[in-house]
Amino acid sequence: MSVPEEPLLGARLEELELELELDEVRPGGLPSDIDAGPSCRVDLGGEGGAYRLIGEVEVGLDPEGVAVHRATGRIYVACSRSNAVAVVDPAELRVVETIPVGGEPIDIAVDEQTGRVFTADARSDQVSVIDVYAGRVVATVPVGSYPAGLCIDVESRRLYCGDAASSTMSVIDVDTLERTGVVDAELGAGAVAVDPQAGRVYCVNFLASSLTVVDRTTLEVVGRLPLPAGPCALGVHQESGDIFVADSLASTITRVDGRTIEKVSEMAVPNAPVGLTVGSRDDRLYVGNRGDGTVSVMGLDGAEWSRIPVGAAPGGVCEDPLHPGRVLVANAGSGTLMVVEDLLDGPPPVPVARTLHPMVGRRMPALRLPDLWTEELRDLGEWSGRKYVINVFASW
Amino acid sequence: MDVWEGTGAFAETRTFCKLWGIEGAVLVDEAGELVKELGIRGVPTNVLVDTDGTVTAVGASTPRELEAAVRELLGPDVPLEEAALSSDWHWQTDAERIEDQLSHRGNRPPSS
Repeated sequence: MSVPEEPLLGARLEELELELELDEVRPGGLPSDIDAGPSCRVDLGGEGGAYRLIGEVEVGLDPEGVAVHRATGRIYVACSRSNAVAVVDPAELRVVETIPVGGEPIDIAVDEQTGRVFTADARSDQVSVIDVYAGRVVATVPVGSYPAGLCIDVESRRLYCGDAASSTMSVIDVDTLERTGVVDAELGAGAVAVDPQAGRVYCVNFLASSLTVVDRTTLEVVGRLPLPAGPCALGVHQESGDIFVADSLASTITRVDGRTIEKVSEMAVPNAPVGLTVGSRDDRLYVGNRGDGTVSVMGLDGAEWSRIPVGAAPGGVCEDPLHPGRVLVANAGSGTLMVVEDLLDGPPPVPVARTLHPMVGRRMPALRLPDLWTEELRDLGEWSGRKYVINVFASW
Repeated sequence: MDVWEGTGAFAETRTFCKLWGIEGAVLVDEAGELVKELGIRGVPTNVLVDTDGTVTAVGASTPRELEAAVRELLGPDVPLEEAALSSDWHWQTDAERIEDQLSHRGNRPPSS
């Protein structure tokens, strides 16, 4: 197993030059070209060269899953805190419909054959079924507790659903809309992927930090692999059958040999990858870095080809099947869908440049914010004279 | 510091903190004011601040990165607590409790 060594932050501090010049700083604010980061930023030279930003549209609260209905070309976004799905017209880049579903829809999947869209409603323990032509929920299917991931198996006419809190994977007949099976997975079962050629279904377990391997025919568990912390997205490379997993808490992508179910490599990504899709050209991955506000375009060897600045705390990523290279990104923090275009034909001659975050070396701004428990305002100056760490988080 | 909740920030964050056993001061940046000023675009992110208010690191989200950044902030003469030194880091410490709370959702706000 080859594990690339990523330099520690302390080492980075010594090795990297701070490129920020004081005269670049706007009064009272940050430089105008901040586009990545918490720990580093990317030169905007990538815009127009490696990628193109097409547009951004507000869709709702905490959008997570995103998928495209090919027949209409419309984009469906699961807005988890809105308890709704936003339907986006890709040409006009505007929301044309908002469809209420169950509580906290996280993932979303499309079945072209029936014209149905499915959402995993985590707080309702159900899958909602939307008829895209009726524009409403036409059925709900009870599943396990806290469903968080979905995957359509077109040939088998099945929908797989990772049930995080019940440590199972539900199997739903896409045509009859009945739950026909339950497979034992592990705690935090979420994202699912299918490899028809290998005859396997893969489910990552976010809390157990593992991969469950299921025989697609018998629905029996045939393998298990420990993974780095917090696996929450995965994709199958068509040619090799290898599996790529986004390990959100370890900030790595793990490549797994699809034949042997052994780790091939762990590849470093910027921060908290929670979205991943294998590009249709089969030579690259698109990785949504929740902690970085970026999407990484990565070669299969782990080289980062480009880093695309998107909205705040991106989650789900999906390549538009009607427009290869066009990547749809659900930004949970911004409440937006962003559409970007990957312009690279292959690995770029110059790798992604990294620099320190522009705030390093600057003074903390003064601000008063309410205390969670008392709701009374507290001044950040309360901690002055001490060394401290602020952990910035969101509950989703 | 909690950010970008979208709705029910206080209720959601209290639930989250109880679920994961988060203690200490928690501030709620509901409008994202501070993260905007800091140029933070994602979560989780750590911001390390020195005694004079100077930011010494932004990011440092993995245990290894955070440990290195804290070591640098504190200097060589200040020992880290044993817990912080552990490289065998696991973020979930009580799987059964978490499973139970998620399953029964008794501590979670209503979905509507």
